[in-house]
Amino acid sequence: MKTLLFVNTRPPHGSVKAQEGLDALLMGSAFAECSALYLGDGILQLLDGQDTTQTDQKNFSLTFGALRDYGVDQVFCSKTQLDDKGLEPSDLVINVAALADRDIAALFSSHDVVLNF
Amino acid sequence: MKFAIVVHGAPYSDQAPLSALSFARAVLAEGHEIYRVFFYQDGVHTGNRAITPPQDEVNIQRLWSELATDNHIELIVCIASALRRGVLDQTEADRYEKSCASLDPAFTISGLGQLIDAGLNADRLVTFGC
Amino acid sequence: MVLHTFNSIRALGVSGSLVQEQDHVLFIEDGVYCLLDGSLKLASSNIHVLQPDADTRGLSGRISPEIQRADYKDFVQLCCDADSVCNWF
Repeated sequence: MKTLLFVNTRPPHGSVKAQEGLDALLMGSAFAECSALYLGDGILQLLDGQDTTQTDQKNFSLTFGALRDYGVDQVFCSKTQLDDKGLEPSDLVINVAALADRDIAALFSSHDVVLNF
Repeated sequence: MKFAIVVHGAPYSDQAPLSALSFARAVLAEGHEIYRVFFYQDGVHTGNRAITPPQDEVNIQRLWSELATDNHIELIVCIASALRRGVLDQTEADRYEKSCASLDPAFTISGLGQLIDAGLNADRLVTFGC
Repeated sequence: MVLHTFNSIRALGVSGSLVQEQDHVLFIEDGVYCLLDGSLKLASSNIHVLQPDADTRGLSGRISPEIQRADYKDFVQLCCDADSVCNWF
């Protein structure tokens, strides 16, 4: 079975791109072994404390907690980019492996297909 | 080789649908196969047959429809993306009691599973985002 | 070998540092502006620009001759030659 890597680079809520990226990841998990990588502002999707009650938007950050139930065990981000934003792994809603650039680059080779969002 | 092409950008707002069209033509010209074209996010607007560009601009929806019809290519618009953006075929328009269907017949509404299937079964998946 | 495409300056900022020495890079759409000032720093020297997009933006004569010119046919071939394709936007 092929392995899929879902790469997410967009922040949540300013556009629907991030939410629709997560939708694709959840669908993918039903058919294949999937990993998720959050780069750039994409890591902000995982920031805890999101409250959308005043903006009529969907708080899809609550869904990340269910990724493990969907069989998505491998979630990665960039250690450098996390540091640049002044964030710690404890600021995120789920456990994420913070990787060096070289280890992130290796993910593109170790997965059969890369889907960018 | 079998190519899957994914389009995230909207026609006239983003270059993505035009870039993807040029890429698709080159894939066919080089003797490769297009497994599927999947329109996701704002890309679903590409299938909107109500698109009416000025006379001195190309009709991007029509160019895609012609390419698909001439070469028997499957053009899929994601149902979740399409419905929330008002891109509906007759079946969905009837189901939700809307007065009009906006999807061109060269395109088919289907689920996000078609994107995953394309990733799993094509040799290469190329995304034109925005 | 991975083929990375970049369609914007923003996209290069997010993931340019992930390009490895053996990878190929293709700049398309607004990504061609990354090549304008000659200050591009990537681990790979296999750099291509999509000529139609550079021409459209008036950049062809302003991009270093060391950057390889690609048409859509070359774009397709780069995809075939790569083990994996990664589209950054």
